[in-house]
Amino acid sequence: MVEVTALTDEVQEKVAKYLDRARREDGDINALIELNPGAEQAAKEVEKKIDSGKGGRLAGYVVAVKSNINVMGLRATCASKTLENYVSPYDATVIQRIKKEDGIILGMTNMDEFACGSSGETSYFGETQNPRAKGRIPGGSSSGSAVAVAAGFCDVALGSDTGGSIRNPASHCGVVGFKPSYGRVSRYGLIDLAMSLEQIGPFANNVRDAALLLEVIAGHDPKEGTTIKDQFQGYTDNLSADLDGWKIGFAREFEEFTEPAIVRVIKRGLDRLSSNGAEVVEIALPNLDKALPTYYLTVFVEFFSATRKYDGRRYGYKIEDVCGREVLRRIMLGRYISQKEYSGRYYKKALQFRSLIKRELLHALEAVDVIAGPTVPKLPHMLGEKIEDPLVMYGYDVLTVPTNLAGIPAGVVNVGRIKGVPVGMQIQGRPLDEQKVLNAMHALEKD
Amino acid sequence: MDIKEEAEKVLKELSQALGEIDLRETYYVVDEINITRRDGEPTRKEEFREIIRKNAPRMAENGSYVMEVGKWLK
Repeated sequence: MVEVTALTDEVQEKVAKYLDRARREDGDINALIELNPGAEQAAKEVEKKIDSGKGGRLAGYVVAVKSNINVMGLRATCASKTLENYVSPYDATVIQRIKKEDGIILGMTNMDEFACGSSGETSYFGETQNPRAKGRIPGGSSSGSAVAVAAGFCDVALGSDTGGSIRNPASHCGVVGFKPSYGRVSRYGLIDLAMSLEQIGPFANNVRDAALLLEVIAGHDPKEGTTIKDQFQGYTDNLSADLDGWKIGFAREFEEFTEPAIVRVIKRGLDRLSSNGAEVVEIALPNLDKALPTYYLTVFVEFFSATRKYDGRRYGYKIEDVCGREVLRRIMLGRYISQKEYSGRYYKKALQFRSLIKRELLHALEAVDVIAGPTVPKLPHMLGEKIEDPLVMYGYDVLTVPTNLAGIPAGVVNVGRIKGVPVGMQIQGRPLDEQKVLNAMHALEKD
Repeated sequence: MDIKEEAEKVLKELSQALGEIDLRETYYVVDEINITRRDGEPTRKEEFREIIRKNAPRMAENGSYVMEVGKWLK
């Protein structure tokens, strides 16, 4: 493999190496839907800026972007036939901010169709391979973004996380992934799965790069009504592995849902946090088992609403005519629940449980600095292994969805392997306290 | 299994798993919502019209957008 490092190579040379590697190796991996034809020209311009001492914070960084985020002139397909020819007419706010800081867009990455999946298998453009666990799923829905980083096609990547779509593939592919607090990053230009849950976030090979990309894309956006006007300090400047005096919460309920071998790896990760000065304490999350039904009943309704614009009049194809089975199932469920909602039987009940789960998590976080635990309860299955029951597939998300229901930040960093398959630890923090989550991740990485 | 039957099974099982609750629903999205935004100065990108045109499902020969042809016009 050609060695490519973030800032040592000349930018043009580095971009050429990444493009060359992607062209040679992505045929087997299928992480990318489209390469940016303007990447080399952008590299030339960035190099000039660096030479004149005017390079931005991301100068020299090559960024891959999930195919549900608008990058002007490239296709935002959501990995669906519905939008296979849709060319973005504008840049999402996160892309504007990356370009302003001289990041170079490599191209658009593969994903589960409309982010409906946790395996990377439901894309119209075909499944994505896991380069760090050959023959297994990479996780999803941001499968291509995690794999692009793991396979060495780029320095960092953007994904979106509605119920674990950044953290799940980060864990399976052994890379760093981060979901910010709801309202921390603008969703302007993101093609939503469920608007009340989703956030854009970074993938990287190390916590510092993830923190850097996060601090570039974060912040209030007048175009996006849910972004929060909150001053935050530079995450990279304040990165520290010193956890002296910290309390780390571990919920006993995590063990009920998780394979014992994964729990053992996670407990070794907890020991590493202890060795950095933290005290691990037990916490209780008694309603953790309610998170999955709460999440899915909410997602079905919001997704049904979000897809009504794909009626074949504006963006090519009517979604129901061309989409895959999982997308169609969610649309049918969302339509049915919406029709029946006068009785408050499903969606309203899910909202009530959402309040309960949020309260429970925030209460637990009052007593500790962060909560640490497993990310995914089982190892990624083999590609091609048919999982017929959708509820079994939804089970992959049981440990990641509470974060989205509560709107809190969470990140994943690799803490070990089981028979060569990476296992990531999830760190969850208080709302808008991204720094503590990043610091705990940094401590795990440093050890 | 038929996809409709599968969907019904999913809904039934998720609803059962949730059980009953007697709680006041609260607003959960964000506490502070910015409901207004600055309009700023309008700008026009040269290529915008061309990109939008490419995304239109169909174009007529005279350059008009064909949004939908009424089924009654057969």
